[in-house]
Amino acid sequence: MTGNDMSRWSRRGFLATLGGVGMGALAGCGGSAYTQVIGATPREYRGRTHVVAWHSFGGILQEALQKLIDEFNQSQNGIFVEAQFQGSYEQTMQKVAAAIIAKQIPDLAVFSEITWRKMHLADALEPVNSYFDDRLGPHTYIDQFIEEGTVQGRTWWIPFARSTPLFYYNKQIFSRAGLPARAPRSWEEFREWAPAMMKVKGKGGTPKAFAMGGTYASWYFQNNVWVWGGNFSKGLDISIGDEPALAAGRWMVDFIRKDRAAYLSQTPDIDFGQGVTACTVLSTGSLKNTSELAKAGGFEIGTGFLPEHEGAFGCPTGGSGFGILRDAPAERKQAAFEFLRFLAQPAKSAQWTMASGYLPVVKAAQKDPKLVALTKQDDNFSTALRQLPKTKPQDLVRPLVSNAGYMMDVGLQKLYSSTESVDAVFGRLQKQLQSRADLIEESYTKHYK
Amino acid sequence: MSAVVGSRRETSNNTTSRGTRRNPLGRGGLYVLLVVVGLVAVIPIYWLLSASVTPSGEIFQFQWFPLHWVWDNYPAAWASAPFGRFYVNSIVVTLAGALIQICVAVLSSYAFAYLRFPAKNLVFLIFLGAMMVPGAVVLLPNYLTIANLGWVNTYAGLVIPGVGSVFAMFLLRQHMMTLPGEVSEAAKVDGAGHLRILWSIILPMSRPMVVTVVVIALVEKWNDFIWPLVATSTDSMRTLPVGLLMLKNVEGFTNWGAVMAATVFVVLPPLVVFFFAQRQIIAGLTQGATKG
Amino acid sequence: MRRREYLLFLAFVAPNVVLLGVFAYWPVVYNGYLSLTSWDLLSPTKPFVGLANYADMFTDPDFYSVLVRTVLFSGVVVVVSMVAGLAIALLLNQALGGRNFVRTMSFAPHILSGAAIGTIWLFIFDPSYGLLKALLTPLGVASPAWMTDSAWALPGLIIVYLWKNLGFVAVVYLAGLQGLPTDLYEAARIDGAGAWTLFRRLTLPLLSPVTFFIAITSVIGTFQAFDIIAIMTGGGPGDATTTLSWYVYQQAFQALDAGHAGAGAIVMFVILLAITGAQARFMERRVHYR
Repeated sequence: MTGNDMSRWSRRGFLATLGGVGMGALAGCGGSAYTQVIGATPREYRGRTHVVAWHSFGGILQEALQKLIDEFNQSQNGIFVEAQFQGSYEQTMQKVAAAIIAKQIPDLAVFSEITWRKMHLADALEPVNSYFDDRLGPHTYIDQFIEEGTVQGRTWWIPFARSTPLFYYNKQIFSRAGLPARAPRSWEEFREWAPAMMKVKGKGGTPKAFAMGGTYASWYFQNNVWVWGGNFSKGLDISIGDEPALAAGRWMVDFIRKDRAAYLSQTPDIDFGQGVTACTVLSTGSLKNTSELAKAGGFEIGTGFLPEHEGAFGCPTGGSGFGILRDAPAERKQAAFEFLRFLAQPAKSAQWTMASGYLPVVKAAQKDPKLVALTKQDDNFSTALRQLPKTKPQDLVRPLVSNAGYMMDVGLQKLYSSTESVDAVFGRLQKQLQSRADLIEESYTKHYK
Repeated sequence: MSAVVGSRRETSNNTTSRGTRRNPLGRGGLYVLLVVVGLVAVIPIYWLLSASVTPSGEIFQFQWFPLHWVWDNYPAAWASAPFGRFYVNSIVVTLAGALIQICVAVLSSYAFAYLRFPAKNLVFLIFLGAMMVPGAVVLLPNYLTIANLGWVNTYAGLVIPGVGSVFAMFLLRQHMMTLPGEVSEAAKVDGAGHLRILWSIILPMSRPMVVTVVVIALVEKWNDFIWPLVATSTDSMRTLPVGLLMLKNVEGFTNWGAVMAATVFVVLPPLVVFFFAQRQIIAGLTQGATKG
Repeated sequence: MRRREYLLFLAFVAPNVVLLGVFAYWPVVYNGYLSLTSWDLLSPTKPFVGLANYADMFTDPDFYSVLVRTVLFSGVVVVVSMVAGLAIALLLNQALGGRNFVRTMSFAPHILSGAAIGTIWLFIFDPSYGLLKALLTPLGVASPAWMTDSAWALPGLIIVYLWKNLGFVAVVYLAGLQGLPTDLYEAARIDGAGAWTLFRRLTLPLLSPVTFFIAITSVIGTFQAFDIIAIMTGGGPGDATTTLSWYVYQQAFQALDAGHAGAGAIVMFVILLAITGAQARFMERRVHYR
């Protein structure tokens, strides 16, 4: 932040103080114009159109994103993009909501497959169709991804860091356990193999077979529900209390409580990297990070498709993309889109994929020579791509119903960490989710039908 | 540490002899207990310091002393987020908040201690009631208020909602009421003199309590976490504890060493202040308790 | 002249009145209003729903769990920190070398930021890499999974809060002990009273104002306490550490459900008012002021 910005803040704060504390609060004296949340502007970028982009990428992902942004800022001389980290996808969305209330907003923000829908239902996003042209349009992106962000023929959400869950296993533990060098094909096979994994002695004792993350538990569990023949919901009719979902839950509970093979972890990636667990399911976006953790832990990782059950396969898509905020001024919305256009260059899309492990979102990126070379060299990078055609978007309740993902995560964490029964937990969820789903019926009809 | 020297006086307190005459454990047992109490308090803080100088490759293997002592985590943490900026913000918010709060508290405590007003006690009680409004309750409405005022991401928005004062006012009033009678006599003279009396008589006589209240306010403002988290959305306005949370989110748990170093950034200033001013803090707090 | 003094009084308390009015009392009122609406923070209107949010909460078994958990958390923290705090105070009141050092040390956690405390303890509790695991393993005890086990997460948080609170309580009690009048004790001892009798008949009653102070501030403190929860568990695993404070925060800022947040806030305010009122009532009769 520059000295100039400093004085702006304090002057503004001072004037506002003079404006009176109590009176203003009670009268609600906000104006109607939306201002921008500007942070620092490096000297060389002064005078450009300043685009503020909020995102949720930490660690090496943040570095990779910043690199793309730096390249964009250097590639032209009209626009300056500033990235601001806001925490998880959920926290970012919450911050956007709070920012809209305060009329002090970013121009561009990263939304997950859930949070963009919330913003869409609240009419906070800008449809991007009018920005498309011959060079860049829906055809640029992988159909499955662009379609997911399109409602009623209008596109609200541009794919960027799209992912699917992926099965990760520790090759060293597998070979010491005398297991084949591949991911288990089915949950049943996994269960058969688990005891062998748990007998392998490592530096900190014997490992568990399966670490499960608590955040996004319901995203991972979509697989279980589907392969057991059920759904979280059909449309807005909740079906998590139905038998197939219950059966999927019971199986997992047995795997945890009876076999003591699986457990809930706050840090499945670290546990995996430290050899505390032999397997885990994480996003494809964790591929790069997990590989480095494994390298530090002195073993190779293997990846595979999510396990099946009785021949049925199921895997949800996930991850995030960009939305442009409706209330930003036209000039900055256009500038924000120019940045998205930059990201959609096949080489840039491939660059992001290689740095993170997220799926390439642009069709042409899959043919990018560097990416092709990498997938040939490192099989793990191609696993997600090969799995992609078999995936589909999640059941509607999680993305659409407000707070549903959180509530389902809470329910699943409860199953993973306590002695409560599946029927009780899912039964309560069924009721709570249905009453919330009924609340958005009207808004859903308005936006989707 | 100066703290130890500071309270030598109390050792001669006559209550001590009363205690030692008969204890069921014997002196040895008491010393063991004393050591345990001290260790329980200190070990987590030691653990923090030790982890902050442990190389990230070794941090997941337990050891009492880092095998290799490195400082890398500190520059790494400092570079991973604008901690310099967070420091500036924390200092501004803490100093401004404490200063304004003290002014507000001194004025109103003086009024309650020395000025007549109908139903003064009832008014006082209503004041005290504000202590019963928990932080979680005020969060959303106060956010809406500062949003309406255009105070999101401003120092005003960070500071002003927290400067109303109940506890500090309470402590100061209690203290003022223990001051000798001549003072209140003086205070009863013509109203024009009140500000002067406050400034040149009451305040100097209340110095220990004022210092206490200031230090408590400083610690409280420095450590405040949820409000700055809610009231800011850019790094340029974030305070240290919020920056720490952000860093923890950015780094996940993959870089514990840096997270621990950043935690040291947050805890060091209050710890230093505490070790220099512990007598005032402790004495003041206990005065509030025993005279309340 | 009297009127002038009244005006001066008003002028002196005005800043505080305005600040507390706007930033403490107005939020209560506004929460009351929000609790009667169904507002997602984003829509321009706040549809009025009457008491539906309250009805919703009080028919939800999960909300009862939240209430029970809150009371349990506060109760255990307050009671244990008072009992153990008094014990430590009695210890520190003995003529032992180094006791002032220990006093200072045990008070130190009280002044640390909740964000920092949460971060430190998260690492201490880690079942695979943490300090507690390292301490328990040689004893042949397997470390609980603490923050990812529904049965251990709340006890874990209680430990953290006790760690933060104990030294403070002990030091306050210690000051109380050191202010006790010796003549009473001498007199009682001449009458042949034993140590336990002295403690029960003299020390405890004489300390009751201190106890009252600690009880009230600790209850309020535990109700405020959600920064550590935010860092360590986010209310989880499941809802194992979701206290009323966290519930209100979660509903407001994560679920964007101002109605439930408001209703939860009002419930919380009422409970706190009732507890404090009851404490004050009880203490009025039992506290012995000198």
